[in-house]
Amino acid sequence: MSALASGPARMGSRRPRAALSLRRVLPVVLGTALLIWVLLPLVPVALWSVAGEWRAPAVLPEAWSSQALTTLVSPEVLQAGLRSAALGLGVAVTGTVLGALAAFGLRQLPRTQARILGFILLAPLAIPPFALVMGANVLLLSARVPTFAAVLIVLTVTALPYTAYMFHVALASYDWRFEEVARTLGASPTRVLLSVRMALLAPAIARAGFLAFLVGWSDYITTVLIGGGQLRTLPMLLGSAASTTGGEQLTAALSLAMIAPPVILLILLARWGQRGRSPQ
Amino acid sequence: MSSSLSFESISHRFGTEQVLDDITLTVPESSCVALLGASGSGKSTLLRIAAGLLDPSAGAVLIDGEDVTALDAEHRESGLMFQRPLLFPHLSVVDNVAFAARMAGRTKAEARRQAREYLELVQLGEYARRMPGELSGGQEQRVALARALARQPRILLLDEPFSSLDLRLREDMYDLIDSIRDQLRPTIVLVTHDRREAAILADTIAVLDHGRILQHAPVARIHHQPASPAVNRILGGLNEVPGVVRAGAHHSPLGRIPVPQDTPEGPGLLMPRQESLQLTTDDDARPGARGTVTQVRPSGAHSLVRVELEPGPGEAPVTVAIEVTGTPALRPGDAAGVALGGVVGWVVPL
Amino acid sequence: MSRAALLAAPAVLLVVLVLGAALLTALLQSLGLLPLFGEPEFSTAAWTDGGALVESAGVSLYIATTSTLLAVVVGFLIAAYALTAGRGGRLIAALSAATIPIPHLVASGAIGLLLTDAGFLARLLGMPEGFPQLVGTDWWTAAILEFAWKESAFVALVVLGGISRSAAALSETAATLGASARQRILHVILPLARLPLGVAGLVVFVYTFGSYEAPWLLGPVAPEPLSVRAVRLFGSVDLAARPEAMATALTSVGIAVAVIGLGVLGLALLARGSRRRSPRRSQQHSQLPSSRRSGAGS
Repeated sequence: MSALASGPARMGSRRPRAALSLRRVLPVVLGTALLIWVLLPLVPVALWSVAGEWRAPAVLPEAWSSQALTTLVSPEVLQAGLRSAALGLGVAVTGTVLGALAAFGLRQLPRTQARILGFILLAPLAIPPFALVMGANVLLLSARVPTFAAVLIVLTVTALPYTAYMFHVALASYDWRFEEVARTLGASPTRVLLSVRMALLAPAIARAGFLAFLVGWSDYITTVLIGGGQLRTLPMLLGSAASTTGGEQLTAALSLAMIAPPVILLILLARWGQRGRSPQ
Repeated sequence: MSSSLSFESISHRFGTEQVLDDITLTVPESSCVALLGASGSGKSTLLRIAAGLLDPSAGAVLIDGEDVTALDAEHRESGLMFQRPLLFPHLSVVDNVAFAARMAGRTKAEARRQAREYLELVQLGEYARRMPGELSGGQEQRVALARALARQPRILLLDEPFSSLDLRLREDMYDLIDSIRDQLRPTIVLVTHDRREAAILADTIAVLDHGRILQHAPVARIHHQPASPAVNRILGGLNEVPGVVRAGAHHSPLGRIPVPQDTPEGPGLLMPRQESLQLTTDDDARPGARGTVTQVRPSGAHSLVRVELEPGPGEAPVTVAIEVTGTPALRPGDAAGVALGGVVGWVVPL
Repeated sequence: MSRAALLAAPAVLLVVLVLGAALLTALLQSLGLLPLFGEPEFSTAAWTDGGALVESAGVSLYIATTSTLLAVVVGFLIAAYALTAGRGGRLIAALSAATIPIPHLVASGAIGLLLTDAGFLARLLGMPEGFPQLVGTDWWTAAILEFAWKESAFVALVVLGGISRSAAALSETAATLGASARQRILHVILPLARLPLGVAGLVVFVYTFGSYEAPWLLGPVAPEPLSVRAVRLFGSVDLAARPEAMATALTSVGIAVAVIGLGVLGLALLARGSRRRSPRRSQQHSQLPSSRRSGAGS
């Protein structure tokens, strides 16, 4: 062991000052670059939404205007917003309920059956959405399903892989002994379901519901292909504004209208999620 | 490969919370100092500051007298081992141990050759090619130790390194640390909440409580001569007997106990270890106190007997704990005598 | 039927029905067997007129590949920065995660406002002479950047979710072993992140491959990726275009399924490599013979 004690020379000798300054600068450069990457695309949206006149090469708008934002409260935009919200909530409810039921069912099934069914539930992820909608459209039309319901059905299929997977993950770490404890403490099966299982799985329900809401709220391609322009949701308005030249203000304002509700929802969910956590 | 480590007036706050308060402590070359304290006492924070993972709010860290406070962890040449082994899951055992050498720019072959020597040192030479997931908890911790040693650190920092191991494995690790201290003579700072571990491994113990060092002394002295009741309790002492020091002795329901010459006169707290107290029988010649047994708690080979001593005139009743071998044939309510066996009493002025 | 099967039935049946019907209809229509009007007539014309189909598939693969590579690289940088740069890193990770709920349609509009000829970026740079055309070029630059922007946030989220718990402590350990920040990223965080990067990369590839909004808004009129071509033909007043639309859609399905198959295979190999490494949480006694153990002191 004498070789050990004498050993090679010490590692990590001290660096000269010049290298030290480079070591300090590099992270700052990378951080700034990443910050620009994340935020820059949102800056023109924010500026255009309140711009009156803004011709090139001006870096900032020459005149400010609240006109674009006022159009957001016009009846047409409000109705579109309501339709989008209804679609989002509809997909959230059906997608979350069906996904949760499926995940519970799969847990209790034999391994092979659960694998096959799980594979089927994930299959919509592999199908490009436009292809799914185009094929399903024919069936839904011939079955005379109303447009809104048809869009809702297809979007629920799109959302199911996410919700089912969320519940699958949550159940994998779910400790069933909580329910056993509750039963020995005198809770009825219904009470256990409501006060224990639902409460413990609340974060998963919130996550799955949020994802499914996003699927419905922000959908463009399904609504276009099935609705054929009849079902005018917010993305429809935004799509036509963004593909028109000179529609910058409206594009920006509608973009904000589409971003705000999910972001607010996310913040509320995060707040609510933190409340239950122990201060660590 | 060893150096001395000093903390000079280290303070640290997290937000408004003062975690460390003016810590000054020197760890001499090749010695082992244990930082003993409960969770939240700031001991792990102090170790992270020593490793360079955390900048202290105030104060300096010196290695061999040189201020290294501004030096990042990767340049500080201190080996750190945590409670979890934290082996890199993507590297084999030998490559984990070779990690530091690779980072320092050694070739793979050279780094591995050196790593194998350290694996031999922790007696895991034949496990070199395994992946971390294929080891048991004790083996993982040995590899983590070999990895820290292979850095050839000037200071070896151990943060509760054996707390997650079961008792027998822990004893093995104590033997291993002993043999490593014999061979490599590293300077070690050990953070632990286990006073037994601190006593076995360290030369001196620094007791930390609420961010302050209450006492830093050699192991035997800190047990028998604690600087305060708090230190006594943290080191497992159960007895605090109030009384008065007068004419070179402490007077209390425990009787007249001789104390060191320099003990100040006046009211004082006598703190005899439960291991130093003995039960006496009626025909025992030794001077002692009388009392009534209040509790007998067997714990394997030993029992703890609590006796309420009869107070003298003007004294308050006091209960002392005595550790005895085996299980005595005593029950609560029995009469018993108590004496301090053969050592001088230790008193802290009240 | 068991209770468990009953619970899973609504979701599974819905998927089977919609998916099955969609694929079957698409196949029949692509072969002329389910025309909107008139008599069914078997024809492989929509498939065999392959030039345009192959070109579209090439464009789609190009967009998906470059977008995925960019998103994985930037996403990893965000995750690595979040894990090594303290508070600033966590701030960037949080901002990046906050962009995830932004719909691709909105992001496409935003990237358009940023990158057009006289867009915000050109104005910021003072309208330089040589400012490249980014929107509507044959290189699909704007569409690729839109995908990379949105999906890098997703990649970072997946990587951080997968490894942040272990990476922070392991990265500190590496620091005490002398690894610099760059070495910690390359030798600790990157190997740990390989599997989540692979999974996220596959998801991003399949998504961008089948996505419509960005190439439609930000790409050139021709050539078209599969999605844009299929949607255009599907909406065409020329009813003869329907078989071609369906053939295009099925081509995209076929390629997506093939990529997923290969990707899952690759990920399984990657996971097998790391499963051997995954720490087992058992605590056995040291299997060393005691003679060797006591021999260490000599």
